[in-house]
Amino acid sequence: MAESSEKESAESMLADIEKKITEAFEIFDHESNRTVDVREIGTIVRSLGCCPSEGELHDMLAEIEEEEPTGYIRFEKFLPMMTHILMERRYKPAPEDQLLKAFEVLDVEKKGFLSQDEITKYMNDEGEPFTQEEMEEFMSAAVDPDRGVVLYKDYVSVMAVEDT
Amino acid sequence: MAFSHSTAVHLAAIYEDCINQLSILGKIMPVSFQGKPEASQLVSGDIGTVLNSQKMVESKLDEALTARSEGKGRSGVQDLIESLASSNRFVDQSMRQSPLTKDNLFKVQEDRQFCEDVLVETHKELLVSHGFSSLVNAVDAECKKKFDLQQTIIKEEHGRRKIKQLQRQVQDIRKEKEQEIQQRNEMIAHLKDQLQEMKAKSNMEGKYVKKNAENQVHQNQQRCVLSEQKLKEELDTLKTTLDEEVRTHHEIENYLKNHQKLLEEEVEYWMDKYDKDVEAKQHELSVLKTSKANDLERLQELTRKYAEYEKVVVEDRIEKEKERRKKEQEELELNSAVRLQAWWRGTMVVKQMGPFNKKKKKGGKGKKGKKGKKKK
Repeated sequence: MAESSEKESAESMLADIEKKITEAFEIFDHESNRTVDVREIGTIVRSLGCCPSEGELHDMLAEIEEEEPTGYIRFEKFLPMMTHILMERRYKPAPEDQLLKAFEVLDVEKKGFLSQDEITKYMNDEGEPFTQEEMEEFMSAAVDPDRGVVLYKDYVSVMAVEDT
Repeated sequence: MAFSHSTAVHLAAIYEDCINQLSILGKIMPVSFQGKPEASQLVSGDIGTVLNSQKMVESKLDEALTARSEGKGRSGVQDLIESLASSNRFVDQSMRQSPLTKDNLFKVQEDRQFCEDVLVETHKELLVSHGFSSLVNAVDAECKKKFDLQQTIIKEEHGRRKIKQLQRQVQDIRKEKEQEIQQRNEMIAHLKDQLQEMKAKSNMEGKYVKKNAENQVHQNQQRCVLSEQKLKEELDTLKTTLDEEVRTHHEIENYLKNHQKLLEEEVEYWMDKYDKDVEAKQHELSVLKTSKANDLERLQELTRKYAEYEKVVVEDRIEKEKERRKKEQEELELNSAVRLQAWWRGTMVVKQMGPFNKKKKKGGKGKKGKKGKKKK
């Protein structure tokens, strides 16, 4: 009984996940022919609660793209891969302590905050390319309005609280 | 003391009458009653009175006993018992002393004679000097005699008792002595036995000692002979060894002399050799010293060089390490940045911020297009 119920729950979970993926995919399937633009995949994936880096996203795309790049991704390819990822819980958003650690690495002098210049420098020079818009959004959300710096400890905890 | 003449005459008449009667009594009294017919009658009359009194006392006792059982006093019984005992004694005595014996009559006769004599004496005195001192004297003398007799009896009794005691003592002593004698006799016999034994023993011992001494003497002689022989043999061997020793001594002396010569020669040779060797070694030593100095110099130079090189190597290593650390740091920073960016992008999509705001959906699209181009 227990086994079968477990199986049932696993099956229901799988169905749930597939349903979610289908819903997310359909939002971006503008022509309703079960395909989406390659460039929308990142948004779909992220909307499903994953946080892959651009490099990881690139790897995913390489896996599901047609042999002849058409600039579109087919739902038949996307669904199994995404299901797999979600079942394995890969690319989960980084938890609070990991984010904090990342900020601390950037805060070389360990002063407890990062100036706007420092943030801009790291985000633009290091890592993957960060667009101006993303940068601006990030700054507007992260910078403390009183002191004009990123008090990353407070910021991370606030974001974590919002998450939960 | 003297009576008047008349009184004395009266008294003398009475005395004379008494004397006459006594002498008549003396004349008529038989020597013995035995063999006469009235004797048995006299005796039986005596015994009869005694027995009668006895019977009377017994009957009285019976009465008293019955009276006592009826609750009368006891003193009467006591008196009766006493009187019974005395009458018994009296019966015994009268049975033993028959008044018929000859001695009794003799005594009576004698006593009568004495009385008569005294009375005659007194009568004469009364007649002559009207007094009776002779009677008093006779009574005194009699009293004294009686006292003496009693004294003698007491003494005799004492003597008899003492004799008995002494006899007993003598007997005891005799017994003791006899025992002692027996003991002594036994002792003597025992000692005699011992003496005999001792004699036999000493005899045997004497024989044994004699034999023993002879044997010892013989043994000693033998031993002496043996030791003498041994010593003689030893003497012979010593003589031969002495000869040998003398010879060997000579031989050894010769040999040692030769050896000494040889050794002296060798010593000379070795002395020479020592001198030469020392010289050679000295030379070698100086050569080695110079070479050591050279080597030292070289070593110092090399050390210096080594230190230099080492410094260079260490610097190089430190530099490399720094570089590595820097690289690591950069990598870490890159990763951190990538992670933050990835998280931010996800967050933006989820929270519908910036380009994903539904109101600005078109603008977002445009931006995304840009991004996609960049990636490609």
